[in-house]
Amino acid sequence: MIVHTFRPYTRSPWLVSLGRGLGLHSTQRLIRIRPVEVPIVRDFRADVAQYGIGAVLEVCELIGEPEVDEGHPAKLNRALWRPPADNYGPDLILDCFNGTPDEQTGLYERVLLRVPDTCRTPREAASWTYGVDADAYHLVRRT
Amino acid sequence: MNRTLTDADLAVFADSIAADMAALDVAEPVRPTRRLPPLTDVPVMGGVQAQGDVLILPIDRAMPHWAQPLPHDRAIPIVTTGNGHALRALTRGTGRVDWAPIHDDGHVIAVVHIAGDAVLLLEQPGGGHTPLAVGAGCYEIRRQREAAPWAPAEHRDPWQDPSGRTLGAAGALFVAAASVVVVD
Repeated sequence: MIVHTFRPYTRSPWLVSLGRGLGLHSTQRLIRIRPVEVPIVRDFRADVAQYGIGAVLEVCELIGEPEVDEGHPAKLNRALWRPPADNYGPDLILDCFNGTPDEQTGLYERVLLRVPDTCRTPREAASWTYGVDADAYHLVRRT
Repeated sequence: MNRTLTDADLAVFADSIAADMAALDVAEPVRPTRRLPPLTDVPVMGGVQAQGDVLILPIDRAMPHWAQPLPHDRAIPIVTTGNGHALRALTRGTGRVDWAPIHDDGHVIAVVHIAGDAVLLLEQPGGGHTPLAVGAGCYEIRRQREAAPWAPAEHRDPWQDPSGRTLGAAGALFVAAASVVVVD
């Protein structure tokens, strides 16, 4: 996003300051208007709370195919998403489900977790969150 | 008159409320929300199991020297945030559960060793997740973590003096004097 800001240039290299003092440099640059790239940093948790999971994942790119969480009692899927890096940074989002249904609704809560971009599959991402090698991560039960 | 309620008073109050609710004739019965499911439904397993953000991972390692038996008459809290997680030993005969807390690892929070007929129960005192029952073996109890929140690099102005200093009046006078000397 391009934002035109009014930037006073009050700090310069000392040689430039000296040049201005001696009349060798122009003072035209001291105050000028120029476009500055301002990235808008967003927190996906805050966005999920405000707009919902669907709205946040709509701007993300699905990496690979969703896979079945083998330890989940309902065998629900988990997926890995790449959010727009300019807003959310380079980290990926692991999209998975709670292992115990909610007492009121009877539904499994959907959970988003931030994982590093070195993860290539949802299984790798899930094992990373527990600090376990992906080859050793074979869930027999999740609650 | 102010009166401080004790735990016994609260228990009597809760019992009376529960009795009143049980006597209500409603279409959809009101169930207590913090009731744990019956333990007979919990299968005893020995593989990798997860209860929310806590993982039980079978490992082959020696117990730390500070390991001690887990008491069988109470639950030992291992995570106290949120709804919490607690360990409870169910022992019979020569069965025994040893445990040792771990503090110097980013993920591992405890190591347990279950011997004989003993069963380790991982339960959530605040409710929320179904308990896990763990059979004989040695296990690491791991906590789930997330990647650190991203902070973008600070925008650098190429015209900005990286030292943050400006040429002061004394410096300007010195440079001017030196240039006069050089010109002379």
